Amino acid sequence: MKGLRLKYRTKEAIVGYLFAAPVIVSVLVFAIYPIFAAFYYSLTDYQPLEARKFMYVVDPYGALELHTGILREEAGNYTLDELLANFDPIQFVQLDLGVNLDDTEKELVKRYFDSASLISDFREGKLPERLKVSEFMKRYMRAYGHKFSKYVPKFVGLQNFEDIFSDKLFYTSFWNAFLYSLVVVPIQTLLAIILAVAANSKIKGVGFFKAVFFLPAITSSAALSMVFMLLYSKPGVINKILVAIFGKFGFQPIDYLNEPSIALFAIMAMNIWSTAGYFMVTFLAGLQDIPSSIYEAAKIDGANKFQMFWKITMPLLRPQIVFVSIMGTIGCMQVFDQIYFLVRNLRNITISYYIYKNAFEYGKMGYASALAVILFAVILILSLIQRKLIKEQY
Amino acid sequence: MSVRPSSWPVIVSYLILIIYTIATFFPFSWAILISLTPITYFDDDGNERGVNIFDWPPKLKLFPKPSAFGASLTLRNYKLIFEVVPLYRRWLLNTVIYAGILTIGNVILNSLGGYAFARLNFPLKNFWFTLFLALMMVPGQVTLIPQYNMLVRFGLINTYAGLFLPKLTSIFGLFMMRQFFLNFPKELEEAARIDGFGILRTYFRIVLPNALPAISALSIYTFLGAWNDFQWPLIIMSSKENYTLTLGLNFFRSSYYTYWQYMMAASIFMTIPMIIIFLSFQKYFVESGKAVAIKG
Amino acid sequence: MRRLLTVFFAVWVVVGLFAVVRITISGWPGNPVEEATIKRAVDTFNNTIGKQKGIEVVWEPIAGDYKQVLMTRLSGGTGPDLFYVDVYVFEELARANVLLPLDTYVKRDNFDLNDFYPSLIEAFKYQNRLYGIAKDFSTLALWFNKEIFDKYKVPYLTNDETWDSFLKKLQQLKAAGFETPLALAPDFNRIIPFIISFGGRLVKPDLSTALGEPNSKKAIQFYIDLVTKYKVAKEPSALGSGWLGEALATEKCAVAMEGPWTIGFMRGSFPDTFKKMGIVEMPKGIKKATMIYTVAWSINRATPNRDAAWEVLKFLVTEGQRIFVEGAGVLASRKSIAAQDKDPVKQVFYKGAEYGVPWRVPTPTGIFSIANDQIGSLLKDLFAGKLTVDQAVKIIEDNYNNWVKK
Repeated sequence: MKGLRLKYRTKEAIVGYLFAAPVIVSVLVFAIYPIFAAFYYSLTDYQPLEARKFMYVVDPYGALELHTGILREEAGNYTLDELLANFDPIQFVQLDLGVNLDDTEKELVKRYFDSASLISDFREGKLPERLKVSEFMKRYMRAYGHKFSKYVPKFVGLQNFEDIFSDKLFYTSFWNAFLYSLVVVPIQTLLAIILAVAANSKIKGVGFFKAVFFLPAITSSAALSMVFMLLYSKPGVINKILVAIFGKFGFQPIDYLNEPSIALFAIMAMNIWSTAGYFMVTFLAGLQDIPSSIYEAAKIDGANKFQMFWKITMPLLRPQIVFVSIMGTIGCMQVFDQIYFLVRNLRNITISYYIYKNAFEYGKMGYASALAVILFAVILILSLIQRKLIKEQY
Repeated sequence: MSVRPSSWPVIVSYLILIIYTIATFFPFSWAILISLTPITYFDDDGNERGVNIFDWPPKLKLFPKPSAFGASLTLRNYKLIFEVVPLYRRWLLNTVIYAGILTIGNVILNSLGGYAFARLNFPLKNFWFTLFLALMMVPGQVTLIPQYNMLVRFGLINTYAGLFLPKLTSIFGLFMMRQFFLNFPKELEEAARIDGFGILRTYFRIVLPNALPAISALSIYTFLGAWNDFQWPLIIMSSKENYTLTLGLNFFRSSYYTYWQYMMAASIFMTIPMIIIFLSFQKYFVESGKAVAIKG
Repeated sequence: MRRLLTVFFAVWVVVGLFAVVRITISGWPGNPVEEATIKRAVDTFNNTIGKQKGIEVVWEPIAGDYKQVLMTRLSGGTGPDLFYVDVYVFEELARANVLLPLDTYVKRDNFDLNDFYPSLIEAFKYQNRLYGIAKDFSTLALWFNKEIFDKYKVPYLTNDETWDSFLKKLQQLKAAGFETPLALAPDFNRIIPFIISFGGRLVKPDLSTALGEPNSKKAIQFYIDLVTKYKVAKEPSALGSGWLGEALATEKCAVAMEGPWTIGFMRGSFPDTFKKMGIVEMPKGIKKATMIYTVAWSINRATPNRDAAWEVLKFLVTEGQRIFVEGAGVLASRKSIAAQDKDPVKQVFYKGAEYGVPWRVPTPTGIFSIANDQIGSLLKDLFAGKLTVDQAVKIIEDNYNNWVKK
C-alpha cells in the first residue's frame, strides 16, 4: 500500500512538471532572462545597430577597392609595398568594411591586423568573395580574432542613471505618467462605483447597460484613439457642440490635442471614458455580494441614502476598490498606445513612450533599459504599498 | 401625480445610466456616421464635390434617404479601404492568425499549468508560484527590449513566430485557470480516481470538459487582448504585409490623414468582430471581468 | 531516375538563371501624386532594365515616423535594400555604418557625378566617401492666394519682399477681415531661413549651438511673434489641415512658405486653387535665404544584393529622376535634367538653390535628431504661448550638448 502511494506521488510530480513545463519554460525564457538582461543593459551603452556589426556579410574585394581606389582587376599592377603604403587598417575596418570599433578594438586592429596577408590575397585574387565580418576578422587578425565575433556592449556603470537624473524629459515623461494615474485612477474608480450603485438599485435593463458600458473596453485603444482624434480636432464635433452651447459666453474652439497644456488631460478623459464601464462590472459583482439586511438595519437606524453609501457601500467595496486602483495604476503608469497615437508634443509624452523612443528610434537601448528599471522600481513600490493595504483588509 | 419618495433613487439611477449610455454611444455613433459619409458627392448640377465632414450642423436626414453633410450615406468606404489599401485583407488575416494562435496556445498551456498549480504536487511548486506572483508586478517595458534583442538574434524579427512565441503563455491566464481549478469540486476527481482513472485521464476526461466556462473566459480575454494589441506588433512587424489591423490603423493615420472617412471605417471595421463576439459570449466577458477581480 | 534528376537539374538551372532579385525600396509615402509618380518610375524600371537584368523593384513606403521605423528595421536586420536618407539624418546613419559607400560603383561604371549640383553631392559625403546620391531637391518659396489678396484689396507679394513689408501685408489682410493670413509650422527647419536671413547662424565654429546669439534669437522671436504677438499666423492643425500645403490648397490661409512638392499636390488634387496661386521668393532680412531640402537614395549596407541595388539606384537618379521631376514637381538634382525643366512655376524654386542653405545641422557626433525633436517640441510650446523665446533658448543652450551626445 505504501509503495503504491509513493508511486502515485512520483507520478503526480512528473505529470505536474509536464503540465507546468510550457509555462515555466516560457516564463524563464521570455520573462526571467529578459529581466536580468534588462538590468545588465541598463549598465551598458547597448546599441542595437552595433549589435549586428559582426554578423554583417561583407564583400572584402569591394571594401578594398573602396579603400585603395584600385579595382580588383588592376590590383596585380601594383606591388605589395605600393598597396601597403596607402593602407590604414583601422580606417579600412571602420569605414570600408563598415564595422564601428571601440577604443579597445581599434587598439587590437592597430596591433594585430595582418595587412600584408590581406593585401597579398587581394593582389593574387585569393580573397573570399563573401563572408561574415566575424569570419573575416578571424582570418586576418594575427591574434585576438575571436574578440570580433560577439558584440559586447560597453560597460558604463551607473552612467545611464546619472544621465537620467539630468534629463529633463525623463522628469517630464515620468511626471506625466504619474499625473495620468493620479487623475485617471480615482475618477474612473469613482465613476465606476457610481454607475455600479445606479445599476444595482433595482432597475430594469441592467444587462443592457452592462453591455453598453463594456463597449469601449472591447475596442482597441488604437481605434479609440483614431475616433477621438477626430472628435478632439479643432473643427471637430466636440468643439461644435460646446460652441453651440457656450458660444454666447465667449467659448472659443480648442485644439485639444495640439494645446500642450490640454492634450494630456484630453487623453485622460478618453481613458476614463473607456475604462469606467469595464470596472463598473467589477463593482457590481461586489455590490451584489453585500447582503441587503445590512441596508435594512441601517434604514431602521435612520441612515439616509448618502450615509449608507459612504458608511456601508464604500467600506464593503474596499477589496474591489483596492484591486481596481492597483490595476488602474499599473496600467496608467505604462500607458503607451494612446500617447503614441495622439500626443504631438514631447512635453506630453509618458515614460513608456520615452522608453520606446530611446530604444527604437534613438537606438539607445542601454539608456532605455535604465529608464525601464526605474519604472520597474516605482511600480514595485506602488504595488507593494497597495498590496499592504489589501493585507490590512483581510 | 406625485412621485413616491422611495422611487427617487431609481429615477436618479436611470438618469445617471442613461446619460452615461449616451456618453458611451456618442463617440461610436459619430465615428460610424463619418465612416458612412462618402468622400465626394454629386451636387444638383452633377458636379463632383468634396464632402466636408466638419460642416455644422451636420444636416442629418433619415428620410427619404439617410444622408449627412449633404451626401447620402453609404457603406462604400468599408469596401474602399480594401481597395485603397489592397493589403488590408492580409492585415485582417494576420490579425486573425495572431489572435487565434495566441488564444489556442494560451488556453492549452495555461489550463495545463493552472491545473498543475491547483491540484498536483510537484517539487518547487511553491517556489515557482511565488516567482510568478512576483513577476506580475514587472512592467512590460522592462522585458520588451531584451525580448526584442533575443528575437533579433534568432532571426525572428518580422515573422509570425517572433510575434507570438513570447506570448503563448501568460501568468495572468495561468492564475485565472488555477483559480478556477481550486474552486472545482474535488469529489469529481476523487470519484474518477476510485474508478481507476490516472491523472492524465482524469484531467482530459473529467476536469477539462467541466472547465468550459473558465476556458471561454480565458479565450475571450486572450483573443481580445491580441486583437487589440498595438505595441508588440509595432516593434516586431516591420514590413507592411505583416501588419496587424492596429498597425494598419497607424498606417491610415499617417498616409490618409485627411481621409477621415477611411480612418473611421477602418476603426469601426476592426471593432465589429469584437462586438459580435462580445454579444454572443457576453456572459463570459463578465466572467473574465470578475476573474480579473478575484486575481488580486 | 537519372533522367528525372537531369530534368530536375536542368529546370533548377534555368530557374536559377531567371531567378528574379527582389529589391525593396522605401521612403515616406508622399501625397497621392508623388505616390503615383514613384510607382510609375518603379514600373518603368521593372519593364525595362529590370526585365533584362532580372531585378524586380518593390516600392514599400514606410508610414508613420520614417526615421523611427527605419532605425527599428535596420537594427532588426529587416531594413529595405534601398531607401531615402534625409540630409539632416545622413551623418548619423553614415556614422552608424548602415549605408553602403558608393565610390567603387561610381568608379567602375564611370557614373557621372559632375552632372549633379556639387553641393548636393557634398551633402552625402562622410569621411570622403559617398553614401548616397541626391534623388532630387527642393527649396522654399512664398506662396500666396491672389484671389484672396484681390478680394481684400492688398497688393500682391513680390520677389523683393522684406520681412517688414511682408508682415505689413499680412496685417493688412487681417485688418481687412481675413482672419489667418499665414500658416506656419512649428518645425525647426522652417525657422532656419529666418535665422540665416536675420544674419544669425545655427552653430558656432566649435559646433555648439548658436541659437542664443542675438541675430538668431531675433529671428526666432519674429517667427513666434507672427503667431503670438501679431496673430497673423497659425499652425496648420489649428486650421484643421494636416500640413501647410493643404491649408493653402483648401484656402484656410492666404500665404505659406512651401516647397515645389506642393505643385504636384495642388495640380493633382486642387487644380482650381492652383490657378490662384502666386509664387515668389522668400522675404529677405539682412540677406536672402531659403532652405534646401534634399533626400538621397542610399543602399543598405546589409543588403545581400548590392549590385542589383546599385542598378536600381542608378536608374532612380537618372531616368527615374526625370519621371519624378515631371510628375511630382520636385527639382532635379542633375543639371542636365534641371536644364530641361522649363516649367515656369518651378523657376523661382531653382533660383533658391543659389542662396539657400541645406537642411543639415553639423554636430560633433553627427546626431541631430534628438535636438530636432526637442526644439520642435519647444516651438509648439512657443506657438501655444507657454514659453517665452528667452526661456526656450535658455533650455536649448542648457541641454544642447546632451541632445547631440551619443
